[in-house]
Amino acid sequence: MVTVTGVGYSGAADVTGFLPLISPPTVYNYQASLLLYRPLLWIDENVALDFERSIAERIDVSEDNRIFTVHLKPDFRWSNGRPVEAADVLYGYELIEKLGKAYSAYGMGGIPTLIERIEALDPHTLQVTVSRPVNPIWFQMNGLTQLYPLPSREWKSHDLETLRRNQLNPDFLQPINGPFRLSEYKMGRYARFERNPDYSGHRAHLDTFIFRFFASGTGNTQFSALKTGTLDMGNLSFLLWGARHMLDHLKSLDTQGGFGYYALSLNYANPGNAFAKDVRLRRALQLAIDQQSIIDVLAQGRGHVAYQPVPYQPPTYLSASSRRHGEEIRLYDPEAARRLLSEAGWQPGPDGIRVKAGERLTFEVLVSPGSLIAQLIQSQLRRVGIDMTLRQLPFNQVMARIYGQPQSWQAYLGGWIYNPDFFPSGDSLFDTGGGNNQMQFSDAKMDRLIKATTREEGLQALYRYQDYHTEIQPVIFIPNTGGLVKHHPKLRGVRRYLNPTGSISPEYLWWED
Amino acid sequence: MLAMVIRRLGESLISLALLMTFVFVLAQITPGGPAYTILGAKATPQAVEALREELGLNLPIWQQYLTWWSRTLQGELGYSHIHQLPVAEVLQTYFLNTIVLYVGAFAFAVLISLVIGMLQAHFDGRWPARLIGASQLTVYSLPTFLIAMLLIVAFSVQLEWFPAGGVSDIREPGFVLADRLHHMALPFATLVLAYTAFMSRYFGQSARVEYRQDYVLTARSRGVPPGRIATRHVLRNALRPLVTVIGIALPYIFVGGVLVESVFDYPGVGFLLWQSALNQDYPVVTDIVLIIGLLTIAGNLLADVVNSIIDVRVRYE
Repeated sequence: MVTVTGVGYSGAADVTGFLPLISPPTVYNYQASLLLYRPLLWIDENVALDFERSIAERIDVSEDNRIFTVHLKPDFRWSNGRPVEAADVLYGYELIEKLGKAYSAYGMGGIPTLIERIEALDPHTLQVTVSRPVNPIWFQMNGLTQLYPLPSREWKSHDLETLRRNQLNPDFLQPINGPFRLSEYKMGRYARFERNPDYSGHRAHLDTFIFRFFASGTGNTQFSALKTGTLDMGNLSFLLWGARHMLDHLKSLDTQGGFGYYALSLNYANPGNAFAKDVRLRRALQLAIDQQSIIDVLAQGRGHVAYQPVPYQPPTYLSASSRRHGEEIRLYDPEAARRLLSEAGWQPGPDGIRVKAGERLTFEVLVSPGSLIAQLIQSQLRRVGIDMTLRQLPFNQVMARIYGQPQSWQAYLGGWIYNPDFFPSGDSLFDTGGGNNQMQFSDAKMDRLIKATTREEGLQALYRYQDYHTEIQPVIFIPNTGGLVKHHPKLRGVRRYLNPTGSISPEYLWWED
Repeated sequence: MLAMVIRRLGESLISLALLMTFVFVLAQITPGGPAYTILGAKATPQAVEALREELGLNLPIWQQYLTWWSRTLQGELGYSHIHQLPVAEVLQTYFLNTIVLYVGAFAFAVLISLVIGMLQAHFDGRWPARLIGASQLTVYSLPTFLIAMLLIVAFSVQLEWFPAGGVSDIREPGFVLADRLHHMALPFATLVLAYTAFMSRYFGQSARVEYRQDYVLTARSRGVPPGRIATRHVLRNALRPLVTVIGIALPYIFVGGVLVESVFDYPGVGFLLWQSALNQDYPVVTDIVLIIGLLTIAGNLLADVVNSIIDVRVRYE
């Protein structure tokens, strides 16, 4: 069975590594590595812990929420027959420590910053002690999910450099504990996986699973491959919506896209962005964007309007007021946007762009080249008198501007997918000094609420955080559009294969015949 | 001849060294870097800095430059942090794909261009020459990627005679020649069409000029058969400008096919260079430029040597 990475989730791209923790942290590498090495904890399609598909069978939490005792399934084995042990998880954690700040998720979920002690109590029991009380949901979903058992006995003698140099080597990537093993990797072309008959979880039906790589990121080549049967499953690019009839022989499945958000982030540290500090301006920006029309135009109606950072689908972490808020209030209201702008002192100038004390309401946003969504937003904002100019740059140059010249840029259009921070608590994103708070947003109440999401047990703190987020609007939300998966009519299990966090399960795919 | 070759080689290597320096410095001073590509959107400033230190990218430019030269002169091509593989291994795969497709298509196009150009010159002023000229102009005017897409629509999507792209049927492991040729058919045809349109026009013009020379008139008046005139006299003299063009074009066929590679999903050097430049994968970029530079030198020298063989006047020049 042949498919591409990112089905139902994002565009396709090449895999450049199969080693968890070591390989570049792209969703494509994540998906590929999951076939070989399963994480300690699995996140299901509702973005909740799934112990059935995890290597851990249960977690006991101490009353003070500081000690997490993880019980591994005693019959979960490596492909060479050896049981997966707590020592293997410890080995994976040691790699994180060795990587230090070069570890891409350093600090997320308290890994390793909150870890006071981690030890194997016995071969199948791991105990993690954190330095302060934590919200168990937050720590399990954002911290413990980063732990991977890796073959400690076979790899202990290897240094980081050796692991890096062999992360694409099928002969090195043994033993495995996932449903498939890597049998062949051809750079720029494909990665072939063969079923692992010794997998301790749900045995795969497919003998062979192939990720095909495409030289071009556009949908054309994938479309042609679906049409001619070279691909058994892939995404239909909405840019080719007019040609969808050519794929009528395939079955369709709508997806909600990735579990994350997409937003226009204003740079609060830029002295030229003083307007950004006025919440009325931010609300006006939000009200001026017709998210539904963006969804209709760019994704043929697939997606949801967004108004706060916790995704609408699946609604696992949505507060009741957030659900009502999304359903009751008008999120697109250009008249209300104009009123707010006027209230804030921005009056229409001779060219329609608003002016205040001689200053035009204009800002430059960094976007990826050819961004259609940016162009739509630009025209919508112009209607209410806001001039948003586009600066198109390749991704790494955008990042270099944001980090290298933190006060120079004005706005950035980008997204965030909650992985490995599956619990959407907002820490590192919206708290003062957060590692991924590139816009340098700072609000004392937000800091307190985010802190509470990581400390207070349960979901109430999360609900308070997202409600406050709606109130003060630190970023301007753009819809997270869905996708359309096309697959061979005899391919079954596709719905179970897909996951909004990117955690695919190809072991559930099977051919009808 | 030998003195000329040595002198030209020396001059060219100095130019190449300057070019490499320019490319290296340009890559270094461009904001960004592979650390951002590797770490992605979740990169924190601390993670970026830590990774840059690990990759040696935080060293002074002059130090990185000297290390790079030292390594290159020892034949080491470095490590691609984007592909997570030695650059030599990355280039080997992509260059092999390129050589098989592009050099093959180019060679085939040269042969066809010779035939078409000679026919065009032979029938100069008559309808066959006009028909050939119109066809050349039409194909020459079409962007290569458009030719590619038209062939895909016709032969792959509609007729389903050929695959739309890729190198082989990935469902079947191993190398199967027939399968490889089947997959290469459309990109090969695209490139042959594009190269032929250009080269046959160029060669046809050159051959037309030769056909108008006195020696051809003399040969005809002496009863030399047309075929012998064409092959023994006109062809050899008309070849010289084409050989020069081929020598100059040789390195560009390695990197000029990025659009065709993109449409046909063909992992070639053009696409690799483009992606590496976008991702700021410096080792791959500088090494490709180095190889192309060496090919340019070799191509020009080869053209001069071949020209001196086929045209005695060049030997004395």
